[in-house]
Amino acid sequence: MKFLFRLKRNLVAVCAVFIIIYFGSVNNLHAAIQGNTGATSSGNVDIRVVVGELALINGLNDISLGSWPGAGDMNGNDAFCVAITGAVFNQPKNYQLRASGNGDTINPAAFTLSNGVDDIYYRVFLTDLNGQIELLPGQIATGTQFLADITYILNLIFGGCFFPNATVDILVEEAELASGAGTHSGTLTLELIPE
Amino acid sequence: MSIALALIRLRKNVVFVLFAIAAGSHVDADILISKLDDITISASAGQANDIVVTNRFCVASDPVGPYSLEALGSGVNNAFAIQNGPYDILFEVLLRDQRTGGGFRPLVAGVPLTGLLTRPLRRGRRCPGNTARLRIIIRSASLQSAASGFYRGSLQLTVIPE
Repeated sequence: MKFLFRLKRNLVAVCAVFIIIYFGSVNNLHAAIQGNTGATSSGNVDIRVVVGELALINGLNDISLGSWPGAGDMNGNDAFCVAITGAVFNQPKNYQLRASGNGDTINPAAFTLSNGVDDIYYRVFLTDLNGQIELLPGQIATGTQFLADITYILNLIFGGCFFPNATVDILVEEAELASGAGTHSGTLTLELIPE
Repeated sequence: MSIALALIRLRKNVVFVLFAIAAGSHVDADILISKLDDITISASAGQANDIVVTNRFCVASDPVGPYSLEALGSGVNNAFAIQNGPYDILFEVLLRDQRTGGGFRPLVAGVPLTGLLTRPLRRGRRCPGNTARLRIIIRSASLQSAASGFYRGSLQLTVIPE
């Protein structure tokens, strides 16, 4: 039996979250100050900018677990990059990650691999600065990483993930493997959300 | 003779007084900056381009003449910067004087930009029309690496007759 598990590269998730601030009321805080006539004249201009937050997850690769020898669990992993703007250099910053699989009849985000007829289930773990946590289908988990601006900028400039700072681990347990035959594949979508 | 002298003296005095008034009018020209507008920007996520905002304003004086403009920002050492707690974003300031023509000239905080020209100050001390354009540029690189949130700062513009 051959079990294939793929994290599809083309599903790299890029999140952009706007931080909405009370824009209407902000507009009314101050008005420009006009000058008075005199030997000199001074005026003031208020400058206000609302900046959205950017998140970038990249460096994801397909994971192939190979052929199951008929006994034992199977696992694989992939290191990738998470980056968020605005972090202070060399200080940890939290982020949130939501993992979703192909789903089943009960949970549309269930971690499933399919051979076209049957599904088998797998488990997903995230390893980062905090250590390892198990991700549950469709649920948001909090991770922590050194998400300094430089990580984001380097990823942006070089268009790739040169310094992976997180790892996703896949575990397919023996009981699941024994329940199906054929080539199974699925897609895991990781959504990075600035906290 | 004495009358003539007196007249001459009187004329001299008159000339002197008129001269003094003329000289005084240059030093004490009334000048006014107005029609300034606040600048509010919403930077989109993934801001790939620089943000450029241009506003017009008016500088008038009585009499009309050359002036210089000094800009001070609200950043450290009067830098052109907007702040969000410990974070700040630097911006550039440029000025284009419509009266003298030419393109936008960069301003340096605390350094007067010279050679600008006022409009005549109208009755009621009003500033007619617009005489200059103020341009703010926030570079995309600054925005992409900036923490999200609300940034605020101010720009003080002072005009001085030359």
